[in-house]
Order: sequence, then C-alpha cells, then structure tokens
Amino acid sequence: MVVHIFGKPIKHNKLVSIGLAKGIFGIGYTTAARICAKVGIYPQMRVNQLSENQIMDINKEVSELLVEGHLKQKINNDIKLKRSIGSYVGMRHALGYPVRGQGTRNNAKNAKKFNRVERYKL
Amino acid sequence: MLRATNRLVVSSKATIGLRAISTTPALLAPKAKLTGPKKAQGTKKWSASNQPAKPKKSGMTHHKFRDAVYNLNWDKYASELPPIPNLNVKNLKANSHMARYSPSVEAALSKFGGFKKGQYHELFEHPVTLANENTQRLNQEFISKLEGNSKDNRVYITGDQAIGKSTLVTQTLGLALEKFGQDKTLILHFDTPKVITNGTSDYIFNKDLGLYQQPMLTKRWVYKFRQVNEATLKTLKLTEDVKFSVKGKPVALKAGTNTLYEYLVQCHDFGSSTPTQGFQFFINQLKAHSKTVPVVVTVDDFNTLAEFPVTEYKHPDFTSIHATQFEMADFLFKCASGELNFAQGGVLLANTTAVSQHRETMEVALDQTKYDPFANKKYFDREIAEKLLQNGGVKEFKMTPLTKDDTRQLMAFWKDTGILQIRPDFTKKDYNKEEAFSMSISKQFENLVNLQYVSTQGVPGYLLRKSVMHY
Repeated sequence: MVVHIFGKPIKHNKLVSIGLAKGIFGIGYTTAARICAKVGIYPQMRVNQLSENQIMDINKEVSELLVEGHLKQKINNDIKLKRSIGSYVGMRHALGYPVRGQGTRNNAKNAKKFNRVERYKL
Repeated sequence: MLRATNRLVVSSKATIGLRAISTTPALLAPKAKLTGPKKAQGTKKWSASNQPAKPKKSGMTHHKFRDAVYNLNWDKYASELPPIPNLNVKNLKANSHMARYSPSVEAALSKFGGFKKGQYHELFEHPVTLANENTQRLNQEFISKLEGNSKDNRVYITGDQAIGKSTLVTQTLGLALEKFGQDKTLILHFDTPKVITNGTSDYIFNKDLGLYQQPMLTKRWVYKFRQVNEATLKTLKLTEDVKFSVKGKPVALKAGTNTLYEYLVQCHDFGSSTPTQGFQFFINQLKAHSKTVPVVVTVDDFNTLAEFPVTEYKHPDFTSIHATQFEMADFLFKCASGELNFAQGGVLLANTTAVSQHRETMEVALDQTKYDPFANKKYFDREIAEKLLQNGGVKEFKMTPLTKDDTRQLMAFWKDTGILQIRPDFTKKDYNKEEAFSMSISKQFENLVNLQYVSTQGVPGYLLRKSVMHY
C-alpha cells in the first residue's frame, strides 16, 4: 500500500521523515525532518497515520522547495552554463571525466556515468 | 592394448536404425508401452488426496526472547506457590520475608506496568517479592509520611544495577494500596517516563498554557489511571462545574453531583487533537481532593527524563523542545520539585542504571556534588537541577544489597518452588581419593548460597539470574 505525497508513491509503513527523504528527489533527511517539525508531525509517525490535512500541509511545504523536475532541470542548466562559458568544469562534463580533480589513470567509472552535459533526462 | 572390460560391445539389436555405440542398459531395454493419456511434464503437484493432511504449525511466537517470556503467559505453567503472606504494612517484620500481592492490588499494579520485563515474574504463578530492610526503611521514610504534604515527602531511590529499585517502587505502591485501601488512595504511576521524550506521541502547542500537549500519551495514561483508581474516583465528587463537548454535543458536569470518574469517562479532551484544558482540570481536582485522599506520585526511571531533557520533538523552527515544555513532564517536574503540593501524599522517584552514567543533573539535584559552572550543557541541565532543589530538595534513598540471611531465605524459597534445582544424586570425583564422594542436599544448598552470595554481592537481580541458570 502506498500513500501519494507530492505525486510520489511512499510506502505506508515508513516513517514520514524517511519516506519523504527516500521518495522525493531533492529532499534529504534533514530537510524532511524540518518539514515534519514545521507541519507538526511527531518523529515516530508513519506514513499511513497521516491525515488528509497533514498530507496537504506537507505538499504545500514541499512545493515551496526546489525538488524533483525543477531541481533536475536546474542541475542540467547549470552544467550547460558551465559548458557554454567554456569553463574547465564544463569541459570535463562534456568529456565525461571527473570534474573535481580526481585521477583518471584508473576507472573514473562514476564520472563516465554521471558527468554529462545532460545529466538528468527529463 | 585394450582390456576386455574397456572394449565396446556393439549390440546388433541396438544398431538397427540407431547409431549408438553404447552399452547403456536404457538403450538396450525394450521400449515401455504407454498406458493411458500422456502426462504433461512438470514437477509433481501436491494434492490433498495423495498425502495425509498435516496440521499447519506456526512458530511459537514472533517475539524475541525478552518479549516472548513476558507475553506468552508462562506464569500459568509455573508451579503453585507455597502459602506466603500478602505484602502489607502490618506484616512487615524486623526480619525479611517472602510476600505476594493481594489479587486486587496485583491487578492494579499489572495495569500500571508495575511488573516489568526481565524481572523473571514468569517463573512464578503470581508475582512474589522479598520484603526486606529496604522495604521497612522506605515504609518509615515514605509511606508513613503519606498523610502529610507531598512537598515534604519526596524520595529518590538510587542503587546499583539490578538491586531492585523498580521492585521497591512496586512494593511501595502495593503497601500504600493495602494501607489506605484501594478506595481511599490515588496512585499516579509512570513506569517509563521516556515515552514523554522519545517522539512516539503526537504533540500540539497550547498557547494558553505555553506548553506542548501530547494527546495520544495523555489519553493512554489517563485510561490506565482511571482503571486502577476506579473505586476511589467513584467516591470523589467534582469540586468545580465543568463543560466540554463530546462528538459535537455539549456535556455539563456539576460540582457536588458528578464524580471525577464520570469526568474521566465522558471527557474526551485528553486525546483531542486541539489544545484543551482537560488535563489541567484533572490536576486541579486531584489537588482539591488530596485533602481527603492521599495522592501517591511514583516515577520509575526518573533520570531518563531529568538527565536527558532534550527531546526528539522539534519546534516549528527546528530547535529541540525541552522536556519541561511538555505538559506531562511539566506536571512530573512540578510534583518532584514540590511546586505542586498535594495536602496528603508523596512523590517517589527511582533511578535507572540502564542509561549513561556520565550525567551530573541528578547528582547536583540530590546535593551530592556542587554545581560546576563550566559543565557541558549536554551532561548537566541547571534548570532541572535547581528545580529539584526547591522546597528543601529531594531526599535520596540509597538501597542496600541483600544480607546473607536474605540470600539464604530467597534461595530457599526458589528451592521450594522448584526454580532452584539441586540434584539429590550429586557426586563429585575427588582426585586425591579413589572413590567419588556424594553431598547431601542441605550441604549442597549451603555451598550454593555461599557461592552465589559472594559472586553476586547480594544483588537480587543477579542472584535470580544465576540461580535460574545454575545448571
């Protein structure tokens, strides 16, 4: 059984803060705990115990944050910007190499996987 | 050179229409005739007809051991208890003795969580206890003063791990109920105050009180309180008129006509998701009635609240909520500090060693050490320590371990109930002599008492554990 919060399915027996952190891109554990504190959800509350009003309140709080598609779009745009201004970081992204000074003698597998100009497909 | 056994023997029958150079008997065997319809390939399916039905057995429990022994009612299978007196102030003698609780008191204590996990109550048909020097001392220092002001009767039980602090709290409640009668005492017991701070209850801010309320927790506790004190509550008439609504319908209870029990049954404000004054009204009623009925407030594991006051709950600005900002904890601290005084009653607090020992709040609160202005805030809460030092401070009650006579008496009781096993056919090989020697049961028992007393240093929790696991 799932409960939909901000359009994302979250398993019913998860703690609310953990469900938010795991289910919504752009929300981590601290942000999730902050949202819960603001809405007045107690720390050990489970997703299936949420009332309609509380879900609405969480949706409202989450909608004020930069999450999901908007955040992915922003990350893609930032990478594009760096590429367009010809910065070193942009170039490394374009080549699919590590951006932050890591070596390339061996592997650099994560870089090949993630460091692209179009990082997230939308 | 080929050996005879390695030569391939080609059968003339097998070569007909088949290019097989093999001696496999399966190929040489005549083809079996098919009888009946061809069966589909696959794994054999289970059917009820071809196998006898086996009764489905689930496991004994899904609980872990500690929870299982508590929940599976193994006390039903325990052997019958020998006749022992009920725990009563009149029965308290100079010598220690085994005692049990009267059925009504036992039921009340069970409801309030007086018999905890890990105390080996499942070994006995009914909870049993040793009334010893500690019980007598607490009777003199606390129970005998219950007819005075509660602010002058505040005791904090300390002692080593497994020495029986929680058991002594339960004994005290039992003695108070026996002394004053179950219809003339009000017991307010908190077995685990940690539930106030550990984030398991919902919380709402009451602007009028300036405190957070915990509806789920309050509702549960009030329900327990109501069950245990039913007889007393039914005799207490309300001192003030009160109005509240239940499912949208207004309810009015009148002073002098309706009882406090009716209020607790009908009023659903304790579990309301909106701020209410229900609990405050209830406390005021307790205060008013304490002139006629003693109110005994007992908090086990009090240091989990006092020494760890930073709760799991957060303000809307994401700062932690202090324990004193919760209505229930505030009530307990007010009782413990003497700020909330009952005309008749007392406050009994008990320490637990199950939490970190490097905290200084209770040491300062008990006036054991001086306040250190440079103390780390994490380990010392000045606000709580100063609060507990008000009105003459809380008196420390240090528990003493069992004496050797107590140990012998306790172990003799366990021997009689079949918990302590002593072998009648015990023999031991003495390597200096040719023949093994045997030992009488009484001699074995005495050896065992000496051994256990020395190894446990008279700590009853360890003594019971060692005796149960003796062989």
